[in-house]
Amino acid sequence: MNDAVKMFSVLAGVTTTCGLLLAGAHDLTRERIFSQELRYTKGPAIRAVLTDATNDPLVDRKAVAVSGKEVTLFFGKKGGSVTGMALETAAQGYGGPLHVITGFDPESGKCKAIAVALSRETPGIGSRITGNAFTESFAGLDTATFAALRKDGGTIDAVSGATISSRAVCSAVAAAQKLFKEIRPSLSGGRQ
Amino acid sequence: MKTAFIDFTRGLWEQIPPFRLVLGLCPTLAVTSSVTGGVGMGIATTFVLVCSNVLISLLRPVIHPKVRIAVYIVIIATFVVFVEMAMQAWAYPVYQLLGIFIPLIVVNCIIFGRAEAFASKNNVLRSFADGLGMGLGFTLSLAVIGLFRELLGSGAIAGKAVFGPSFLPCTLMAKAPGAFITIGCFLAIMNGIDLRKRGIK
Repeated sequence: MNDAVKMFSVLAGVTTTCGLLLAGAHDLTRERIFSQELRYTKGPAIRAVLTDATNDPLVDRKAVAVSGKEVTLFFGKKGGSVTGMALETAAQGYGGPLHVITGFDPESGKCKAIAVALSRETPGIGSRITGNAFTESFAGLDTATFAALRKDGGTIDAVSGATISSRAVCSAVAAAQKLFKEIRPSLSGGRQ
Repeated sequence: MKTAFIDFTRGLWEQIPPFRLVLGLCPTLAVTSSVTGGVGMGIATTFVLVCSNVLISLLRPVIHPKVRIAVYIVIIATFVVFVEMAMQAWAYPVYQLLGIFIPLIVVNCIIFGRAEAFASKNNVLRSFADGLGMGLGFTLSLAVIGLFRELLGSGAIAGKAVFGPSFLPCTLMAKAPGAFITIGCFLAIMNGIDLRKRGIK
């Protein structure tokens, strides 16, 4: 009995201490890890979408609340005026979650460009959705046409052999379009 | 002090991982396709090895023998998560390169082996020396394997191309078989040196 109590107390003591230390370390590094993740995983995709921006869109970001959820908007600015806004959405791809950054024109609300920030699609097959040939077909989608594959009644041609991955990108972009439509009126009174 | 020094140097040649102590082959195969990956992994492993060796040696009197394995795993895992967080916060590109192999340090046999075979039986100073020696030995090995594989497999050193554009990389060396071939060659050379030392030809 005494032996069991000793075993228990040693293990409980060690695990509790370790747990507390880890929680502390997590709190200390959380902010920094978040900014590093932004810089290295989303950063390149955001810059690819907001091509004409001269500022750092990662710094000029704003969290907006849309229907109970918090969405981070990234602003691309040139000479003081906003030239583009980007936001991230995710959809279920073939190999796991697929994160897409969609850039919008603040004037017309049209989709400017998209870029895949994170994907785990099959190399050589599903991974081709990250190529320019496919992503460029999303440019110019207006506020009324949500992204959808041609075989789903939309305007986007799927990458052959990668329908699931292509459809995932479409649903992520469509989700971004819907979000942007909701956010737009609240952005400093819409049009300036 | 002298025994601690012997413990330290043991990890650098006599029992250098992964060559002599044929443990920790999984990370060795996976991360040594470049020097940067190898060194990053080596440093992370060294940190965990030194910290867990010292702590386990310190806690020797209180660790109940029946729960020692569980306690070791908790201690090692804690340090590994520290390393993972630190890497994410201050060396994100290295973290991206090593990915899943950082959390997998928890199950690296070298660390567990040293905890069970050395730190649980020796004092703090000797355990520290042993951890540092083994860690540095591992880092050195990974760096050398990485250098060799990166040079032949992608014609570069730490990401910088060293040969002209006409260089045809030997892709085999960048893949897992290349790591086996490299380790085999180095092991043969090391055994050759040892045999020669002992006067056997």
